[in-house]
Amino acid sequence: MHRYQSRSWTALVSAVVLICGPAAVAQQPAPAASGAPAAPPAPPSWAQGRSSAQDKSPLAPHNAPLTAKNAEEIPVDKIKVPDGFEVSLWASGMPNARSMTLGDKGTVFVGSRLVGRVYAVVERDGKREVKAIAQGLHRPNGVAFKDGALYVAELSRILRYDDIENRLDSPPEPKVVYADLPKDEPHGWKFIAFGPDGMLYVPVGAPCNICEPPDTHAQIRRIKPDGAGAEVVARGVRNTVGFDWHPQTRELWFTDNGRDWLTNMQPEEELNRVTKTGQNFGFPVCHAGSILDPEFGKGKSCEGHEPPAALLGPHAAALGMRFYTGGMFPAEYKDRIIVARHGSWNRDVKEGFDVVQVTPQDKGAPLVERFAHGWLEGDKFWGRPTDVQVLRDGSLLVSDDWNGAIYRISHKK
Amino acid sequence: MRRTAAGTPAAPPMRRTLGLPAALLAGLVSHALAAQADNGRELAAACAACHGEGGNSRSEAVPTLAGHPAPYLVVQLILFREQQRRNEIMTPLAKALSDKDIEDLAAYFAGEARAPSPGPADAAATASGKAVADAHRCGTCHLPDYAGREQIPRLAAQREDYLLKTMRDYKSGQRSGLDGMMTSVLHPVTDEQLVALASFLSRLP
Repeated sequence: MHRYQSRSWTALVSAVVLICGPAAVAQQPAPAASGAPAAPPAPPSWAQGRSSAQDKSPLAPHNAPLTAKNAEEIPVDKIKVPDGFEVSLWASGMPNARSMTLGDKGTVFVGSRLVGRVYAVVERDGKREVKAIAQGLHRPNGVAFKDGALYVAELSRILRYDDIENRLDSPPEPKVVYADLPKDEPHGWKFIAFGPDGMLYVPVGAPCNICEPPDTHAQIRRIKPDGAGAEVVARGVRNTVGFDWHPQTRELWFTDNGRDWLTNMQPEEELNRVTKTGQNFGFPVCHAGSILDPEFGKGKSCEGHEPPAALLGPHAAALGMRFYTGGMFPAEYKDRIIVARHGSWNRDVKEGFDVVQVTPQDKGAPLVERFAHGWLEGDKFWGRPTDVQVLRDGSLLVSDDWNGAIYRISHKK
Repeated sequence: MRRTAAGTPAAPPMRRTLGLPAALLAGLVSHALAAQADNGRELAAACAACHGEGGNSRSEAVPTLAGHPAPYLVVQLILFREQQRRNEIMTPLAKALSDKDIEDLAAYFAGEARAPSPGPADAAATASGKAVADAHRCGTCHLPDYAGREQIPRLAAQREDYLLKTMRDYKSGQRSGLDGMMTSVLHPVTDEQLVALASFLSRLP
C-alpha cells in the first residue's frame, strides 16, 4: 500500500519536474476571487478603526485551523450544561465546520468558511457518516434547505443542489440562482435561511470594521427561491451570521456583531428583532442602541435606529441562533433563543466561547443566561461554538469551527 | 493538538496518503517528532526540483519554503488541495497529500534554515522599500524583523521575483488568502512601491 502510493507520488512529481519552469508556474486566477472589490478600505478591515493609542495592540483575530481534530482529541467532557442535560460529540472530522441546516430526510448539512467544503452528516444503517459533498467553493458558509434542494451561499453567489438527499454520493452540478452580490472579502461570508414566507434571506455585511458602507452593503435582503424579486428587509446591519423567525409572531430575529476597537466593554453584540420591513439597526452611526460612533455618529443621534432587543456581550461574536422549537427540553425552553457565541478577539479579557439562552420577558429586556460553556479555560480556548440547530428529536446541535466538530446537547428524561 | 487525516472525510484523491502505516506510527509515539521530521524529509525530496535543496529555491518565481512558520505552510498546502489557491502544478500535487503529510512537510521546511539573502541593495533602494513597509505597517503582522508568525509568512530573504509576483497577485485579487486582507492592504500601494518592497524584503537577513 505504502509503496504503491509512493510510486504514484513519485510519478506525479516526476511529471512536475519536467514542466517546472517559469512559464509553467503562472498562477491561475481563482474564479470566485475575480472582480474588483468595492473600494476596499485600508488598513486591513480588522485593524481599521484603531485609535493611535491602540496601534501597537497585540489583539488580532484568532487564526482558525484548517484541519479537524480527531474525535478522541476533543475533550467533550469539559463542556458544562445545566442539570438534566448532557453533551456528546455527535460528528467530527469536518475542518472549519460552521453553519448548519436540516434536510427533509434528516441530513445535517454543514457549510465552511475557509476550506471551501460543504459537508453532509447522514445516518445509514445506524452509523453516522460525514461526507464532503462539495469542494473548491468560495467561502461556502451558508446552507439552507427547501423542497429537496440544498442552497449554498458562497461569498458572492447562491448555489442550488437539487434533490440532494437522494444524491449525496454523486451530488449534481449546482445551479447558480443568484449572483447579484458584492465580492468584498471582509464580512463577505454569509449565513442564509428560508423564512416562513418561503423567501431566502441573504445578508450582505459591511466591507469593513467601521465605515460608511455603500448602499448595497450592511443589510439583510430576501429573494425568491429562484433568485428573483430581491428586497431589502433590514439596513444598518454590520454583520449578521445567524437569524431565525419567532415561531409564534413569525418576526425575524438576528444577531449582529458590533464594531471593534471602541473599548473593552463597548459595544455589546446585538440581538435584533425586525418588526417592519426596511428598518435601520444603526450601523455605522449608532451601536448597541445607545453608543454613537465617535467618527460616523458625530452630530447624529440614535433616534430613528432600532435598538436591539437584547445585548449579547462585548465583542463576544454572537453568531448562529435558533428558537428552541423541539419537544425534548423542559417546557420553559419553548421559544427561547439559543445563541452560539464564537468568542472575542478584540478585548483584553476573553468573552463568549459559549452558548447562551435568551428568554423574552413580559416586561423589559429579555433575560440572557449561559447555557453551555467550558470551551474557554482562563485565557485559553479550545473550541468555538459557531452555529446551533434543533434536531427533530428535540436535541440541539452545536457546531465548532475550531475543532471541525458538532456536539449534541440532549435532555435526560 | 496534532491533527491527522484520520478524522477528515477525504475525497477520493486524498485517500492516497504517503504516511507510515497507522499501527507503526502508534508504536512510535515517543519518537513522534522524529517520525514527523523523517516523513516530512522523505516527502520533501520531491519538492526539491522546484523549491531547491532544503526548500531554498533557485527557480525563477518559485518561493523559498525554508524557515517559514509551519502553520503558514500548512495553510497554503491545504488551500492548494482544496482549490482555494490555484496553481497548475501545486493543486494536483497537494491533492495527493493527507493532513498529516502536510503537517509533516510543514514541520520539515519550517525547521530548515533559510539561505542568506543577497544583502542590502544600495542605500536609496533600501530606504524607499523600508519607507513603504513602514507606512503600511507590514511589520505589525509579519513582525518587525519580517520573520512571520503562525499563519503569516516569513518575508525576510524570500526570493525577490516571488515576492513581487505574490504582491501583484494579491493586489489584483487573483490570490485572496484566507480573508482578503492582503488585497485590502495592497489596494493603495502602487506597482512601483511593490517593486521597492520586494527589493527591500528579499534583502533582509
